[in-house]
Amino acid sequence: VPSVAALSLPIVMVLQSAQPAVQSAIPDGPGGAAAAAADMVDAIVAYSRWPRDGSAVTLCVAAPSPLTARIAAGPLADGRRTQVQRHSAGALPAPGCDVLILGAASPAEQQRIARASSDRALLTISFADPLCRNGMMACIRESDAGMIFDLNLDAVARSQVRIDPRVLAIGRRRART
Amino acid sequence: MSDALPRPRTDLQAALTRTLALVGVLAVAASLFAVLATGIFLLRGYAGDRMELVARQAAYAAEVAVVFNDSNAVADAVRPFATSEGIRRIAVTHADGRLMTREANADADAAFFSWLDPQPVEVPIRTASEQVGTVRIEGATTGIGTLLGGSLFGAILALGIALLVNRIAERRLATTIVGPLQAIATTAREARAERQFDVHAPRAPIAEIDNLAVEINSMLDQLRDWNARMADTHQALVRRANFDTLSGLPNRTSFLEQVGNAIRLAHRNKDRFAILFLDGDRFKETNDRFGHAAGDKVIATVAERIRPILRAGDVAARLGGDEFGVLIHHLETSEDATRVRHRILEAMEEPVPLEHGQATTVGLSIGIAVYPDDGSDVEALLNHADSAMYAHKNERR
Repeated sequence: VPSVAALSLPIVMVLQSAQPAVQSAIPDGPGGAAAAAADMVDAIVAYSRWPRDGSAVTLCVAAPSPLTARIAAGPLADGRRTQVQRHSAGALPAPGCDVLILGAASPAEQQRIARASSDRALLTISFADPLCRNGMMACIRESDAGMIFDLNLDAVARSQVRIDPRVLAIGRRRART
Repeated sequence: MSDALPRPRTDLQAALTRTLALVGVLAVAASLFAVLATGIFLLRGYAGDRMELVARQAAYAAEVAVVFNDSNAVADAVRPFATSEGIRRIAVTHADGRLMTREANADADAAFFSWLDPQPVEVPIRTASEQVGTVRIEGATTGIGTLLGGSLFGAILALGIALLVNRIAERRLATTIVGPLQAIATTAREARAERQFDVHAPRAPIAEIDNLAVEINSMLDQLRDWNARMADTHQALVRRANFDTLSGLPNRTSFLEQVGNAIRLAHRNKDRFAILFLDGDRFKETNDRFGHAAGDKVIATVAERIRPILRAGDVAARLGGDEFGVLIHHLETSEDATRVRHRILEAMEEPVPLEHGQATTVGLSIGIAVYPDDGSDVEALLNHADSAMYAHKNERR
C-alpha cells in the first residue's frame, strides 16, 4: 500500500489550476446512477488517508439528493468499513465526521462548510458543484458518459486528508484530454 | 586377402588437415548450439521474470482505475507497459469478469519466434483487502534476433580463427610429422634404389616417428653389414672360380676366357698376340721323390718366377697339374714371344730349394701359338700351342 505522503507538494502545485475528472459507467436499471455515485464515493474514500487512521470511516451526509440515496455503510476496497450519519447541512462540520457529503447544498452553504473544514482532517465531497469551484475537495456529477469525478486540487492540498496519487493521476489524465 | 585391402591414396598431411578442420567446424558448431540453447533459455527466463514484474507494476497502476470502474483510465494506466520490450499483449479484466482493456504491442518481435514465447502471466489486481481484477500479460522472448546474429557472427569469427589455427597447425604438422616421415621414406627409397645402405634417416621430434627413424636406421645398418658380407663372399667365390689357390694365378677357365677376349680385341685392332703353353718335365717324379708339399712348392715357385718376366697386362695362368699358360698381348714380331719363352726357360735354370737342404731343378717344355698366324679361335690356338709344346718336349729328350 503506497504511503499518502508520496504525494509531494510540488506536484500538487503544478496541478492546482487543473480540473481533474473521472468518469465511471452507470449500471442500467432504476437507481443505477445513485449506485454508481455511492461506488464512486466509496472508491474516493478507499484511497484517502486520515492522520489518525482507524478501521472505520464515518460518512456524514447532509442535504440529501437522489444521487446520495444509495450511500450506505459497508466494507471499502481496502478493508476498512464505513458508517453513515445523516446531518442537516447547518450542523456541519459536525464532530466525529471523517467525510462530509453534500447532496444539494447551495454554493454559499458549500463555501461556508469548505472554509470551516479547511486545514482539518475532513474529506469534503459535493454533488451540487459541477465546476467544483466552491472549495469542496471532490465533486461528483452525472453526465451522458457516466459518473464524473473532479478534484479541487487547492482544497486537496490544504486538507490534512491525503488522497492517493494514483487517484490524482487519473484526474491529471482527464485534465490533459 | 591382401588384394582386398584398398590402396591408400590420401596423403597424411591432407588427412590430418581434414581431421583438424572437421574438429574445428564441429567445435564451432557445438559452441554455437550451446550458446544458442543457453541464450534462448536465459532469454526466456529473463522474459518470464520481466513479464511478472511488468504485470505487477501494471496491476498497481491499474488498481485505482479498476476500483473507479473506469475502462479508459485502465487503458491509459496500462498502455505504457504494453509498449515495453518483451510484451506482446496486456489485458485487464474486472473482478466481475468484464474485459476492461486490451493493449497490443506493435514493437514485439516477429511472430516467427512466437513459439519461443514464455507462458502468459496473470497477476491479480488487489487493494488492501480484495481482488478487484486481473492483469494478463502475453510476453515475447525478445533479443532472439540479436542473439542469433551475434552467435552467427561469433561462429563465423571462430571459424575464421579455426581456419587460421588450422593453417598454423598444418605448417607444424609438416615440420613435425609429415616432413620426418617423408625423410624416412626418402632414405629408404635411396637405400633401395642405389643399394647405398650407409644413409640415415634424420631424427624426428615426435617419439613414435623418431622410433621409426631409429628402427629404419638400425635396419639399414644391418643391411649394410649384410651387404658387405655378401660382397666379401661374392668376391671370394669369384676368386675361387677364377683363380688357382696354390699358385695365386688365374685358373684354366679364366685363362680361356681371357684368350677369347684377346682374340676379339686383336681382331678388332688388327693386332697380334701369342699364347705360350708350359708343361713341367718330371714333375710327377718330384712329387714322388719329395712329397706333395715339395710339389706344391715347385708349382708356387714356377708361378713366382714367371710373373716378373711378363709386362703389366700380360697374363700367366695355371691350367692344371704342372701345366701353365701365358698370354702375351700386342706382339710387334713373333720374336717377342720366343724372347719371353727364352727368359722363362732361363728363370727355371736355378734349382728350387726344398726342405732339409734339398733342391730340384724344374724343366719346362714351352709351345707357342701366335694369333692370327697359328689360328683364329681359342681351340685352334690351344691345339697349336699344345703341339708346339710336345714338339719342344720331344726335342729336349
